Amino acid sequence: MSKKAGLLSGARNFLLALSGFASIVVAMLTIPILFLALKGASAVSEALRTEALKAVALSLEAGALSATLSTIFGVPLAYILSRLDFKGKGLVESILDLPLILPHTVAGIAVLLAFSSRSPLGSALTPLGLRIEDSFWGIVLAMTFVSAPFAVDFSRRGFDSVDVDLELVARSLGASPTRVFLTVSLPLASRAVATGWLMSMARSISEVGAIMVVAYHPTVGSVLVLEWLAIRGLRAAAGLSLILLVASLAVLAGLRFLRWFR
Amino acid sequence: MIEVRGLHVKAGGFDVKVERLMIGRGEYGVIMGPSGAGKTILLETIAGFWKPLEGKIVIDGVDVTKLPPERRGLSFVPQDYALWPHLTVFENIAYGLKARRVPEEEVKRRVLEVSEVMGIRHLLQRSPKTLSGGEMQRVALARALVVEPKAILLDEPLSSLDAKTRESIKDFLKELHGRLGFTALHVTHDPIEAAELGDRIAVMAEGKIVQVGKPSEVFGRPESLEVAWLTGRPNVIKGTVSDWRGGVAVVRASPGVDVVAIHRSPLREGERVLVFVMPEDIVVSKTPQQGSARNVLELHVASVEDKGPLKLVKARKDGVKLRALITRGAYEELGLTKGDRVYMQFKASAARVVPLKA
Repeated sequence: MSKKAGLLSGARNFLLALSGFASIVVAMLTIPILFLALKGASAVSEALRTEALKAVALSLEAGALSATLSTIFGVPLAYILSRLDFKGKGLVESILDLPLILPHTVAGIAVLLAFSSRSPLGSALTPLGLRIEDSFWGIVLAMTFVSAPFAVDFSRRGFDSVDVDLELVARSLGASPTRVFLTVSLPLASRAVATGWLMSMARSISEVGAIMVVAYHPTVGSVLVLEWLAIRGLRAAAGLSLILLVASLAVLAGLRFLRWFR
Repeated sequence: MIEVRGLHVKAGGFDVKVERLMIGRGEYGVIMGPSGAGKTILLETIAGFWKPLEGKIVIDGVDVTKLPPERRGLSFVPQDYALWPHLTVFENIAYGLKARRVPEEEVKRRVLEVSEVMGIRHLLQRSPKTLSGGEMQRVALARALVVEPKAILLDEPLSSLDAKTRESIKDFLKELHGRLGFTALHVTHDPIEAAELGDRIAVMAEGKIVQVGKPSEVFGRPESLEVAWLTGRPNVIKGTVSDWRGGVAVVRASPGVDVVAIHRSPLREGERVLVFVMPEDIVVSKTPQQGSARNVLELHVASVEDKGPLKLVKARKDGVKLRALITRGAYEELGLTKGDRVYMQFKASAARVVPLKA
């Protein structure tokens, strides 16, 4: 038992009040999921069509790719933010917060304006096969825009928790900065980096707005739910939703595993 | 050899200026001073972690001031050892050799060799997280020494150990230095630690080195009040060994004044030593008391000062000066005034003998 357990001892009424409010939050989160599970279970067999499975697979594939890109490019940024003080650091941090506060449709419009084949940047990328309108790459780009901050933020927290002395000792024993980063900093922050990857994967799968603006087709799972809701009704949408719920739960299980596996 | 010239560094809220500091090859140098003196900043600047505004750091004749830490050939051992928790003890020790691209076979041989010397061979496959403080200290030393650095830099290496381990690691360091003869620079706030380990002591206060010398010079002839205060927190009695038998030494401080002290390792008769006694270990009375104290010195009160809730009684006779901390109550009961005859008593186990190096 931790010392914290003593904090609320003998505070029966207060504890009751706390638990009352707390259970409302827990109920508010679980009850809809239960309904979804019940309603979805009866419709899941109908939802298991090629169209739906393709959409969910596309979500996972594009999500994994965007999480990987966010991590590969986000980890160096996270390390810089954790270790260096420089002019404009606050600005960079604000830019990273932007996708979190921006309405997702607005994010989609911004990405479209910047990278569509008619924009200067997009027209340079199109010959390389990286046309974003209604393409796989458009989905990945939209997902990356909204999910990269998660990869950066979690990795940065990981680096923040690595004592600088652990790196300085390595330097003094003859290791170059690159070597120190690869053999000391990164391994010690690896759990946080993995958490960041999973969080940005989860965020990517759940994205709708930005993807709809940039690349409605090919259809990802979350967009297809909306489409089915409009065309085939609530029951069909619930069936598909259940499949997406299971995929999200797998990510959640991964997070729990990282926390537990120390 | 470590040489520091005209150094000025501003870092971590400290402003450190060092005119000159030299630690010869194979010497054990100690930077001693109170916390906040800037000792660690000086050590870290020598290691290459801070950029000085001015001045030079020369290691074995090479100006390293502009070189990054990995090209200075110095091994830094921080206060909490900073062993890498994701590597085994073996991998920790091997790290510096691998960074220097030493062939695998030789890495293995040298790690085994140094862990033999350090008495940690049985720990090689363990994770540092499972080690005791003393074991971590030995691993950190092994990791630092295995690369055969030009000098090792130790930041308060004994401060996070419990009292018993501290003593044994201190003896170990002394013995190891005697055996291997590496150059060391060791930072500490503890004057006794400095006296026991240092061939050369630099006393530091408020970002400046106020005196450098052998322990006998720094403790015996403090050049300023500052140094006297810094080195004089414990009482320091200079003397000559007149007898050593079965772990008990008798030290003659002045004609007719002998101090009895516990000292396990043998001392030669006639050997010059310093005896350290903490002011709080001294009992003051107006008549000689019966008790377990082996040392009863008859002195005259020179002054009494306020030290917060306590009183610091200074007394002297024939060149022997002692300071004792007593409670206000005891002081009032004794009714001490300047010139009074007092008896200052302390146990043989409260006195610490440090042989002076030639």
